[in-house]
Amino acid sequence: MTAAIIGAAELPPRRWTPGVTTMELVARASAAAVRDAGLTPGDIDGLVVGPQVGETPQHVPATFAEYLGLQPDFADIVDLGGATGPGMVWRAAAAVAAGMATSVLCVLGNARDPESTTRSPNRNPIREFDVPYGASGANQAYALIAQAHMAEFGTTSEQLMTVAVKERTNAMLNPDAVFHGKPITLDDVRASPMVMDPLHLLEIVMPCGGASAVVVTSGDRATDGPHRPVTLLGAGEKVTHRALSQAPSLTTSPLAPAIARAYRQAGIGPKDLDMLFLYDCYTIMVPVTVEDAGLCAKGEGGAFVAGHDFSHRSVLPINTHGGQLACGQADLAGGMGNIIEAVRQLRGDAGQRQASGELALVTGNGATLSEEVALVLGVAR
Amino acid sequence: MTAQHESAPTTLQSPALPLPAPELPAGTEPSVPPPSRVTTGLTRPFWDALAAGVFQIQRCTECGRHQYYPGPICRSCWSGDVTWTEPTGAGTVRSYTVAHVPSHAHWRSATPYVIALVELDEGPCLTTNIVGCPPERVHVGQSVAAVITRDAAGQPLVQFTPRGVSP
Repeated sequence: MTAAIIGAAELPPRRWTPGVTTMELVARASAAAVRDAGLTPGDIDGLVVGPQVGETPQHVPATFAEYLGLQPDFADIVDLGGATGPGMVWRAAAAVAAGMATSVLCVLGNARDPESTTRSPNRNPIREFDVPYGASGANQAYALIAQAHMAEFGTTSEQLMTVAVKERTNAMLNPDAVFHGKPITLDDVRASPMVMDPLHLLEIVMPCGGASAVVVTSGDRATDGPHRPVTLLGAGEKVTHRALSQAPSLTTSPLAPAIARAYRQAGIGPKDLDMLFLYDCYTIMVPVTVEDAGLCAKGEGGAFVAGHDFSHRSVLPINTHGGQLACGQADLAGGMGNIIEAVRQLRGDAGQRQASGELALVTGNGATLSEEVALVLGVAR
Repeated sequence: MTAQHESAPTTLQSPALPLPAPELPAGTEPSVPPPSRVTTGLTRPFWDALAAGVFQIQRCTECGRHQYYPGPICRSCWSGDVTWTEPTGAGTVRSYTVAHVPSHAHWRSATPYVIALVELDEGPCLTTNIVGCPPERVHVGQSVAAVITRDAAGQPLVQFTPRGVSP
């Protein structure tokens, strides 16, 4: 693939965004990303947006194009939950490679108005076959995943809790993080309310409002921009189920084949990676992902995360911005946030939390180990 | 998990009424109704049979694979020739969680209760509850048997209870 991310921007995730719409947030993030790319709106000829729960049910790309004043040659919607951001990036690159567009804006956002509680009205068949058992929402599903990992491999609750602690520590160097300046200890996690055994409150991502966007263009155009281009070296995607009861495995995620494909395309292996930006809606996701990325054997993810240095000084930093657990999850924009941080780090623009290295793995995870995308991003040495 | 002293797998034949007292929703807040049930023309026979005391899943007559939840075609070979069949009701806990803070307020006063993924001996896996057993006794690999119950609104559920002697 010869495409690169040349622009990136993120509105800081915040617990509530009273009185604003998702479309407003998307517009602000879009403008910032295009400015960051050194482009003007007229340069954008491709637009990729996400689903807008409760706000724009149909004709989403056209609605957003009009709202942004764009008349794109390529418009699409990607609906892969937490994997939507990474899923957008490779689709944008494919559109560029196919000659359908030259510069594609990929944008996600989420408004959280305390007055509004709009959610998807129907999620059949989960609504029909899971909800009657008091099994609604993602918390219970990730608890089932965590419990299965603990039963199969002896992973401990304490190992999982270390993820929350380490990401909070990383967020100490990210002023934009919703939990910036709020470090926690293992005892804090242990003392936080048990929500769905074994998951405590502090092991569960906090919903936020916010938005984030990137601009993808061809490799040859990318060098014209003001920043070091971040090249898409490889991508992989895999979707296996929606309801967790239908998952082929509770402990190996579809990220395994997605990451393997991304490695193949990039011509690399896990030992070549310099930094990781791993989707972390719940603590259990990180050990599962490091296993599926081949960074340790299956079943050893708990020990890996407990013993690993997540910080920017590490030989292999993880989620230097704090991840979603500490930076905040602005719905689908949370998964895009991992890409934004990867771009910052690879450009060398991460300031006091700057890590070293040229090769990054970004993962996205949607629903419950259901819809997964992996990207390998890099910069020229 | 122990296999000793297991009773014969429960076969859920009609008539199973009167149904056991509902275990999950007992004590739920009457002020917060459960989410309304969703049913389609395709799935209605499943719920109708369950209400009559019969737990049915689908079996593909071409490839022999069983499936739950019901679909218009076999999700393995895509044959349209799927028929209803009664599983033995025997299964194994694939994973579970003890719910302390449910996402929906209806279940808040039912806590702690157990949400589980149970794999039927026939193969399909379903989301359900483990009842008739303290939450702390539930474990992955536990042998369980189906029991038909009703929720607070009188709608049927298929929940599971430990088989034989639990360790």
